[in-house]
Amino acid sequence: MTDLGIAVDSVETGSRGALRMFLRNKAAVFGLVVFTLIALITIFGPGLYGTSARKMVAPPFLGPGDDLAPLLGTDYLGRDILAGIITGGRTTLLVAIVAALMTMTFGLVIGSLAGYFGRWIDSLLMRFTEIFQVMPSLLFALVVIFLLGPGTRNETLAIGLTMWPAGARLTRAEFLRWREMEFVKAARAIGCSDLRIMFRTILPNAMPPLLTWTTLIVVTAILFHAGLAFLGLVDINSVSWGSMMGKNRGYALTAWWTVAFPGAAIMITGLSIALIGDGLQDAFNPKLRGR
Amino acid sequence: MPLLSVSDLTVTFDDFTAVDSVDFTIEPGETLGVVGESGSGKSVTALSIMRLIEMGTRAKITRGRVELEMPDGSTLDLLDQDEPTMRSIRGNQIAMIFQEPLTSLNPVYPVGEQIAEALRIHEGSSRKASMARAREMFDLVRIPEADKRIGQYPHEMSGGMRQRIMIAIGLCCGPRLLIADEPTTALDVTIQAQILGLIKQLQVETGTAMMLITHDMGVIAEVADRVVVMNQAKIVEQGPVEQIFHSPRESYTRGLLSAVPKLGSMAGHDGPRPFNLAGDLA
Amino acid sequence: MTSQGKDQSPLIEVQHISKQFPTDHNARVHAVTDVSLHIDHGETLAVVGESGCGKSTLANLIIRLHDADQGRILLKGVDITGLNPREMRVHRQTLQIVFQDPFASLDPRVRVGASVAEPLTVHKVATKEEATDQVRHLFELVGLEQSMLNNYPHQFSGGQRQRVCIARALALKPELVIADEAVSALDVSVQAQVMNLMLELQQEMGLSYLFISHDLAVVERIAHRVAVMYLGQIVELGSREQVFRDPRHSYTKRLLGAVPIADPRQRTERPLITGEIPSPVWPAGEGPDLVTHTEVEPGHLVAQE
Repeated sequence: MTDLGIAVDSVETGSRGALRMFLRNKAAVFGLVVFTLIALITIFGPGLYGTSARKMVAPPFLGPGDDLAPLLGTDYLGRDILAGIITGGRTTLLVAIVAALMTMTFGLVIGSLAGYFGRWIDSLLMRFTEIFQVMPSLLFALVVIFLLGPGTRNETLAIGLTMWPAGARLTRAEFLRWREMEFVKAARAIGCSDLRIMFRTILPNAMPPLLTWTTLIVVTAILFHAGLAFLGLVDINSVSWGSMMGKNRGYALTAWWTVAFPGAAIMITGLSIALIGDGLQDAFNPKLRGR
Repeated sequence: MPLLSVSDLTVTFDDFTAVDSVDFTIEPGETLGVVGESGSGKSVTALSIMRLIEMGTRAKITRGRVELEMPDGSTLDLLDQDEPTMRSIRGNQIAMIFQEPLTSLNPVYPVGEQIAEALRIHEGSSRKASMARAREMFDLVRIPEADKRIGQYPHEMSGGMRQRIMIAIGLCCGPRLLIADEPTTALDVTIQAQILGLIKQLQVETGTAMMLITHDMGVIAEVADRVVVMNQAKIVEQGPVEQIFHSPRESYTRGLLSAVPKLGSMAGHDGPRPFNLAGDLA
Repeated sequence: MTSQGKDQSPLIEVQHISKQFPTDHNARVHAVTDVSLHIDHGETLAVVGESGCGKSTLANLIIRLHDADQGRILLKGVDITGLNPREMRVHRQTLQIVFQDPFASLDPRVRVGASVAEPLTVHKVATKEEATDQVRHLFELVGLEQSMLNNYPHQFSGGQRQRVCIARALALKPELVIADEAVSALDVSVQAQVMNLMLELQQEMGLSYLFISHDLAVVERIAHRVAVMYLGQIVELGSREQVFRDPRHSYTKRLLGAVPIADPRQRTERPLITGEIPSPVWPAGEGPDLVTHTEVEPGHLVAQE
């Protein structure tokens, strides 16, 4: 079937925005709407919803719909679950997004240098990456937190440090692939500098899988942070979706709502981000534009 | 005084010699055809002149000189230059176009933008000025409906159009030498004819010298003034195109020519006829 | 003149064959439209055309890699169009194909001797010992050293690999070999040697070839008869002399005029035209106009323009 695909020349098209392509992916738009709502709630929610997440407001273990209960019930200390979700989202999202950005930045810098320059630079950077990669991630994060002390900032750092090697490997693989393309040779032949080739020629081509990967990393970071919190390894005073689940884990069978609602919040956020990532993949593919 | 003079150029990949003490010159405005089969070292020679061969590969230029005459009359040995100097030469003094017009263009930028980029790098022109020049280049390489096509992405164009874009990128900074590495090999024969016609015409219009690398003796016969025949990293023979085709001295060249099917050579023969292989192939 | 066989009926006859492929967006690729041709015993029919003209699809239809939408293929008078894979097996021996890419057509982990023997054992026409003997004979036939039998494909050059592919195609003593751009990827010196081999084998074994190529100079060398395809249809068909010396269709003329001739004394002025090969993709419900052919001289068919 080598015969196909010649001169199928849709002449009337031109450059049309990435945004347009994104908007055409219904699922991605839905994800974006949901995520925006979640973000707005975590930003403005605590101010608007008057109840503190840290205070006892009612008897413990009131289920949703019980008399006197807040909308989503109360936990083992009688704290309002809904307030916890609204307040805890801030920590969870902040940690996840900052950790993902860190991962992405580290991964991008190290991976692109290794992939583009190859030779000894590649070997050196990859050995360095492997040092981080061979360590069990949870244990490594624990050590970092142990050394630096608990606190949201250090937790973020710990998560970022554990996750970046995968990003470096992915970026490197993308750069290795694109580096060999003729248009990169052609860019050199018109006198482009290495930096220009790395960031203007190759990066936009390598970006779609990296973006999708970053959105997945946000999800992974949420879960990672939840995992740490679940094990009680984060700042005892902070409220996050994960720590709510962690503190209530002993009562999951008798008072399901204490873990189910924070869990659902994690799941919905994760799904919405994954949908956005899918849309970004389309948005940055010029071949889909103008169809 | 030649525009480019290559002497004793030797390139190795680990212990394998890809180009073995190659000597040739290119005069201003002439077309030098470099012909050879796969692995003969012709592309490596071109990439070595541009000093692009050592990037990300195990290749090493171990010997030789590549002297380029600069516009001010001085000569520069390209093998002695540092990377920033080479960058100012690439695209500006010597440009290069590649075989595969699909993959030689960056898929994520509109084609007009890619011509303009070359101009901005070397001439530092503004966005607006460079786009206007890019638009002129579209006319130079005879792309119809330029206003519409300037904003198109590479995948929206046919192979022939993409190769025209590549030629436009190559010529936009007014280089004095254009190295074309198998520029028509990936194209259909009717499109190849158009591109060959365009290349010949542009040479008349711009006076650019050309180094045309190909495996196709037909293309060489049609475009080249002088010919370099390469085999297994060495130059076997070089001379004016007429001499190479009609009185080749070397047995390798005779063999190569005897293997080339020549359209029209079968007139008056009934039924198929095997090649009467000569020279090295006999 | 071209027929060496005993009977006068053509070896293969393709009648009004058509094939379309769906694309996304409700359009169809009209790859092959109403193509008819025949090949006699011991004859080479070349199909030439540019990318998208449907020549490779035609080859795939004939060896039944695709099923035709319309039309019939008669192999020695038997309609093979509707045969199921089991019934087709008998005919597979008559019909073999050699592809363009000798690198992709051989399994890198199988010794070439075993690759060549494979069709013999698959079709159960030889025992293991017989197969070994025959493979030795085939290697000799295609000019490969016996000592290479146990080598792996990566130890061969492109030309040698194509010889292996030819040996494999010949293992079942086929009568028709389809060569789909079989020499296009080879260096010119190797190409000439492989073409000489194909001509020799034709002489010795009375083979017929369907030679599919984009290269008119190569076709001129090897073909008895030539069919020129353009956008899925045959625009001109005739003996080599008729098509190359007296082309009547404007596309044939354009194609011949475009070929660079390997002789600096025959340089052609190239007009500065800008054209593109039109697309064989049509919206659903539409399609190309069917061409009608006129016989301008015996055996020389030209599509009316």
